[in-house]
This record gives sequence, structure tokens and C-alpha cells, in this order.
Amino acid sequence: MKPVQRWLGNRSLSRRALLRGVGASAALAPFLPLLEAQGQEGQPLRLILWFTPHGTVYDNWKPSGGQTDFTLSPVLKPLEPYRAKLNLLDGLKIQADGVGAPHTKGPPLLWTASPLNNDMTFTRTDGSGGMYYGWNSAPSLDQVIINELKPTTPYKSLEFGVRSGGSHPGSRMIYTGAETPLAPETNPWAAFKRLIGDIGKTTDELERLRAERRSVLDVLDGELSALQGKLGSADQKKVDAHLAAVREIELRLQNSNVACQGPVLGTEVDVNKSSNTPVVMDAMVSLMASSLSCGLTSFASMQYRVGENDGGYLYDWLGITDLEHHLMTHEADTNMNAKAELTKIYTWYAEMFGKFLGKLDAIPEGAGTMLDNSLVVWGSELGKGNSHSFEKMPFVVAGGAAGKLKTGRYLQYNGVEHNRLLVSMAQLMGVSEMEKFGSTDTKTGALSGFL
Amino acid sequence: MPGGGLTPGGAGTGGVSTTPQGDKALDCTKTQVSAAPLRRLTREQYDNSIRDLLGVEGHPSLALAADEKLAAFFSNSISPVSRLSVEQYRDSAEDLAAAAVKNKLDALTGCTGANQNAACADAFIQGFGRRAFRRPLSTAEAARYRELFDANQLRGFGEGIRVVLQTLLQSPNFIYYLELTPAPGGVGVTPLGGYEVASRLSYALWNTLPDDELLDAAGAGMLDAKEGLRAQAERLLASDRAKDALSSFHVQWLGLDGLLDTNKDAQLFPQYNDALKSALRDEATGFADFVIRRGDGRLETLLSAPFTVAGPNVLSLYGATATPAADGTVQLDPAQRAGLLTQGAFLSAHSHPNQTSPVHRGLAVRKNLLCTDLPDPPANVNNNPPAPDPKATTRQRFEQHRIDPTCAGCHELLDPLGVGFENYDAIGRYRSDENGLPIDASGQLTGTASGATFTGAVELAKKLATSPEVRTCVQKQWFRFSLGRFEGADDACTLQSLNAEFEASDFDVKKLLLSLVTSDAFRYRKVEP
Repeated sequence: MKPVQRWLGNRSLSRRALLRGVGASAALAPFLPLLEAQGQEGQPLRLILWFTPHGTVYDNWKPSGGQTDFTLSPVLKPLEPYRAKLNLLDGLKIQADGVGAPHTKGPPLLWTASPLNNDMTFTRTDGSGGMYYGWNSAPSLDQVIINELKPTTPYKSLEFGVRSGGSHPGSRMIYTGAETPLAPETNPWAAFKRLIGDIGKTTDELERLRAERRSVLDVLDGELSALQGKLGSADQKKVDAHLAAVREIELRLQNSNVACQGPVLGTEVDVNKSSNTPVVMDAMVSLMASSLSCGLTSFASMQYRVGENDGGYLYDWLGITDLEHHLMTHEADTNMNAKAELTKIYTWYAEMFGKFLGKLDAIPEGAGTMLDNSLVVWGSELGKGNSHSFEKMPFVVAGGAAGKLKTGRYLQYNGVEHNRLLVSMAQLMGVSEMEKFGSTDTKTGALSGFL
Repeated sequence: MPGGGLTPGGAGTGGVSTTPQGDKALDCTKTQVSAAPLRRLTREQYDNSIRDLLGVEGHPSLALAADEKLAAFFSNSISPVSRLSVEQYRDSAEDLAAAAVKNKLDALTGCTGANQNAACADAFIQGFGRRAFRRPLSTAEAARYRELFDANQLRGFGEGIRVVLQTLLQSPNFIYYLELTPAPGGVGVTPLGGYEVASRLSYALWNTLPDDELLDAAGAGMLDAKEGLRAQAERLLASDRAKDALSSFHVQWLGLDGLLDTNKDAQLFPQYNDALKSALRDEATGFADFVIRRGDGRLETLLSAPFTVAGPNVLSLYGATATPAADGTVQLDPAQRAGLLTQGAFLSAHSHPNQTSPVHRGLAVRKNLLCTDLPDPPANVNNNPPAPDPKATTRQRFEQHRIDPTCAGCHELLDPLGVGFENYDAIGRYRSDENGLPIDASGQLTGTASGATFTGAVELAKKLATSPEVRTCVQKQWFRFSLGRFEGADDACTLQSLNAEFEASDFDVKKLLLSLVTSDAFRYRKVEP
């Protein structure tokens, strides 16, 4: 893994107070807490990264009006209830350097601002084919912030997804380092059981479960350790990563004391069936909000679908049954029918994003709501499908980052690189010394007019 | 990089000739194989292994992260498991172990009544552990699991077994292909141990873990020589369990893995429901299994037979009326159907929801049957199919690809193949006209040595069935599927001998599999520093 410092530069430790906030109060569950948090200094600040694929229909996304007296566009209309808590960032671009098709490199670039490895991992060894790239070359912003802040929540971060595809750069956006993607959990019911399944268990039962898991992990630790020296270096790296994950889970068992009321999920459905998407999305949104409010983590992400062409994907619940979404995005701008259907899809994206914001905003926290104490950033791997453009990226930021960020604004930029937004996000989260982010970054500082 | 990397059927820019016909004379006096990266079981292999260990049907692997894919085939050999994956393995193992102990503790352990004691637990640890790890446990390993049993059996024998079981199912020895037999000098090419060969063999031919007989053979050293290995491979292929692997190969090779989740325009194709999709997939896999294991085994038959093995809804889709023969096969109209490529599964999977796709059908043939990989289309093209038009055929609507020189470079390799399938609609029904307009299904095997022309998919299929490029490609595809990796520079000798043996067998796929599992690439590994 590349050293984090490379992405951060020098930084001071001025964020101690905030750190304590994130750590100690994370156990507080504003959502009907069952345990009292001790030593609360302030609400934890959360970072949530939200992804939807294939850009937008810019004309129907672009708000109108001025910085504060703007009017939401048709696509963003579902966000009207949270208008005062938004920052609509218009005109940012992504520097899409490096190898890989736009849909493939887009999701990793979005949060890492670094290109895919040019190492032919996903290539035929005789070099004659099609796919010429490796995994991403650097960590995503959330993981870099985590590395700096070292949160003591049970989970450093939680990755969620709906229909998040295979195991491939176009379907992985969060990386702990070079070549180490974090797969999202795509089944909300399985995640519920894992994350919040302890609810209702007595202290004895919980203690027994933990002891049992510790004893199992002990054996696994021993078996993985025994492989040391028996594998080539490339294979040894994989086993080391496995062992590190086992130890992280062991550690979590030692200091996990979260208990709170979980969400009520609907009846379980087959998450692999595309027509079930709205139901799965509903459940996932609830689960995500609860995971954050229960203090399981302060860093979460939602990856809806993938950057790649995930073929055959119809929005039958929106009445779109003739063309796959990806193919539709390739229609010429003059195809009004395609534009109307795409607008429906992107409006539905906003509806889902709005649902999530609604959950956060319904949880009172301090003087405001959980949304006020969060930084929720919605992005896509492309600006626009038919040109595969990385310009005019549809970024929406929600939440006030615990009062550090002005909201209710429509901010227009003219082709500013999204590295500036990522740097701003890190600064808002408490990594105040960060000036540059990602190997595509050629400038410095936060996004002007945003912070 | 449009226009680049188009080297049909042959080696590419890497400078490595892996084609048996390569110019470079190969020196095969010393055993050579390329490195095989550490890999984990695929989801299917996990499910099948659980089925065989615990006797439960199902798809517990749906709770695990998706498989990585190398070209057409799933293989988890690139990135390490993430922390979520470790927890997903744990959750799955906990659930499976709890259900097994609750429902079938006696059957699983063979320990009942007073026999539910530590000695019986030891026997279970040895027996079950040997199957899960595909090798006997070492004394130290067995003792470790016994400790685990002891620590938990205070709450009952079943509790002890449950914790042992859930640990075995999360063990790296279960979820990885661990090949650890050291090379004499520390690094270099060395034969795999007998149990390691058994594991490779079983997952290649059954897509699941070895049975006791195979493990016994491994333990007795019977897999060390080619003859013994071949005898076990023949036994495995004769078993119906080989159908799992053959199905898995054909589903991935033909690009059918997404078939069950394809959707069609409900107005145009109301009959395209879950039952039909499953039946189409079953037709492709059942037919392949029939030809390879019960029929003549030949590649030519797979790709051009005028018969099938299919359910009534598929036969009615084809308008087939013949009575099934005693062996279950049904004759189809030989002017309309010829093997796998003219079956509904392939034709539907590579079509759009509301129309056919000469491009996708051509691409599937080009990539998966001819082993030509193509660059991605240029980023700024409208690669959306032109909207259906009652006044034009699909072929006419795709003419732009031939006219526009920026498209023609690649599409020259796709469309002339794909238009051959225009006599089948988006769900694989035969049609002689499109909106009353006559269909022109004439095309050409562009980018092949013969460059042969053809009219219609039946003729195309017959030409592909005997094409040297397809024969070579099929060998590579089976290599990738069964070893979970791409062929590398040092596999050239293996590929050369495979090719010679395949030819000598008159291109019998079953024989190809026997050659493959007894090849150097299968029996040896390269130990890297």
C-alpha cells in the first residue's frame, strides 16, 4: 500500500477534539439508544459517499436561478424538502487520466481521483485482448480520512450497494489502498443480521457469541499464519490481507458495545432480480441510516449499480421496458424520447437519494438532525453517456457537516477539477491539512466558494 | 484504441506465441508451466462443496461477494478477500453449521446416544475435515479442532460439533486452492502433491470437491502418474456429477451467465418468462452434457447437431413436433437448427429487449468461439441500436457500421458473423421474414484463415464447427475454465500437446478434457519466489 502521507502532505494534529468526538460519542445511538454514551463532546460527523451510474441529463439536472434563490430542476425536484440543506455543485469535471474505458475507470476515479493501474491484471497474458488495466492505484478519500482520524467505531467504514455487479474496477469504487477494493454488501437483510442482529440478545448471550467467534478467529488466525513462508510473494500478499481482516474482526469483538433499535426492513426479496430494485433500495436506505445512527460507523457509502454496462437493465417499475439504461444513454441528444425516459431514471435516483436524506433528517441530534451532522456527497462516474464526458459532473452535497458548511446553495463552476471538492470534503471531515488529493491532482486547496 | 489489437485467433502484442502453429520451434524437453496464482472457490464451487459436505441444496454463496472474472470465466485469483468477505464467509458458515447440527447431527457425525463423545468427535474432525480440506488433517490441526470441540461441548455434543463445523467452513484450507508442495530447490517447476491434483481434478470435472474414492486414490499415490490420473478422470466424467462442471463451462463460454436476469419487452415477447429462461438455459447445458458424455463427444456435434434435449416450452418455441427418441433427444428441422449457437439461450442472451443484435451475437462468436479480443468501442459513439423500423430489416438498419470507416474496422469482425443469425428473433424463434421483408442472412467468417462466406446460421455453425480457429480457441477456453487462469508463455508445450491430441481424437471434447487434466499445466506448478 502506498503511504497515506503521499496523498495528504504534512499535517498537524489540530483535530484532536474532533477525533474524540468521532470516537467516543460514536456509541451513542440517537435512534432510541439503549446504552448511554459517556463523555460526549459533540455529535459524530459522518461522511457518506453515494453513487449512481451513467451521469445525468444535464439540461434537466441543472438548477436555475442564483446562488440562494435557485429553483430545483426536474431531475432534482424530489430533493425539494431538503433544499435548505443542499449544495448543488454545477460544472465540476473529473480528470479522467489513465487506462480503461470511461465506464470502467469512472467509479474508482470518482472517489480516488487516481487512475487504474496500467498493469494488465485484467488482460490476457498474451496481450491480445480487450481489457488492458488493473485495479485502482490508490485509496479512496473516505479510507484516507479514516486512516488519519482512526475512528474507534466498531466498523471503520461500511460499504453498501444495490445491484453492484461483479468484482471488477467498473464495479468497485472504495479502495483501502492500491489494488485493494472493498466490496459493498448488497443484501440489506444479510447486513441487518450481521450489523444489528445482536439486538434482543441478553448480555450473557452476547458474551457467549463473542467468545465463540473469538475462538473461531483464533483458529483461522493460526491457519493463515501457518501459510507464512510457503507461498510466493504475490500469493503471500493475499493471505496477509486475509489475516489482517481476521485480526480487525477480532479487535472489533473486543470493543464492540453498540446496541440500539434497528430499522424495520420489509419482507426479504431476491436482491438479484432487477425488478426488485426499489424494494431492496428502500431496505438498504433504512439500514444505512440506522448503521450510522447506531454508531456502527461514521463512514458509509452506497453504490447503486456499476459504471460498466450492466446489460439488460430495464426500469420496468418506471414503465421503461424497451431499452437498457446504458444503451439509452448512448442516444443522440436530439432523441427526445430517450431524453424523457432517462430523465425519469435520474429523477428516480434523486428520489432514492432523497429518501436517504429523509431518514437522516428525521433523527434529532443536538440542536438539529443527523443530516446536519453529516456530509453526504452524491456523484456519478460520468457526466453524460453518449459522449462519455467527464465534464459537468452532477455533484450534489447534502448536510451541513456539523455547522462547518453553508447550505441551501447552488454553486456554479466552469470546469474545476473535482480534486478540489475531495480536498474540501477531507478538510470538512477534520483532515484540515490536506491540500491535494489523488495522483491526478495538479493544483491545491479547497473548492473555492464552497467552504 | 480502435483498430489496435486485432489479431484473430493468434497471439498478440505480448510477443508470446501460444499458438500451436507458432513459428517458434518449441523446446519441450523440460517440463514448463506458467505460475498459477492462489485462488478461492467460485460461488458455484462453494455451493456445490457445501451441498456435498452437508447434504443441503441451495445457493448460500449468494451471500458472498461476486466472483472475479477472467475473460469468460469466473475465478477468484486477483484481489484479496476484503473484511466484508471474511464476515460473509463467517455468517454463511455459522448459519450452515447451526442448521446442519439442528437438522442432521446424527447423520453428519454418525455419533448417536452414548457415542456422542470425544472419540466420535475426533472421528468427525478427521473425516469431515479431510473432505473439506481435500486432504487429511495434520495431527496438530486435528488437535486444534479437538480443543475447539472441548471448549464448546460443555453445552452439549452438538454445540461442540457446531463450532468445529463453522470453523472448518471458514478455514483457508476450505475456501482456497492451497497448493503448498514445495519445490526441491525452493523455487521452480514441481509436481503437485496427490491431494492437490485431486482437488484440481474434482473442481475441473465436477465443479465440487473430491469424493472419498478420489481422496483415497490420492493418498495411495495413484494420481502421481498419468495413467492413474487418467483412470480417475474417466471415472469422474462417467459420473452424472460431471454435468455440473460441463454446465458451468458452457454457461460461461457462451455468455449465458446473465440469461436468467435478462428482460425482454413484455409487449413483444409476453412468453419470455422465468420458466422459459430457465428452460432455455437447461437446454443448452443439457444438450452439451448429452453430446459430451453420452453422445459422440465431438466439437462438431456440439456446434452443428440438428437435434436437442429440451423441455416442451422450448420445443414449442422452435415449432418442433418430432417425438423424443429413447435417449431423450428430439430431432429439429435441420434447415433451422444446428447446435448450441442456434439455440434460444445463446440467441436471447445476445439480443436486445426489443430486437435482435447482430453486433452482440457477432461479438460473442468472435470473442468466445474465435478467441479474438476486441478493443472497446470509441468513447463517443452512439452504440445504441437504431430503433426498430417496420420499413427496414435489422441488417439494413446496421448498414452504417459498414459505411462509416470509424466503425468498419471493428464491425467488419462482428456484423458479418452476427447477421448470419438474423433468421432468429430476440428470443430465438425462427423467422423467414422481418415485418414482411425478406431476410438476408448471408455473411462471412471475416478475420479467419478461410474467410469463408455462408448463408444463414446453420451454414455458419457448420463452418465454425470445423474451423481451425474455433478448435484452438476451445482448447484455450477449457484451459482457462479448468485452471482458473489464463494460459501463459510457459504453457506453450501443454497447449501444443493438447492440440495434437485433440486433432488425433477427431476433436472429441471428452478426450480433450482427459488430455487437459493429464497435461503438464495441470499436474505441475511453478513455485515462485
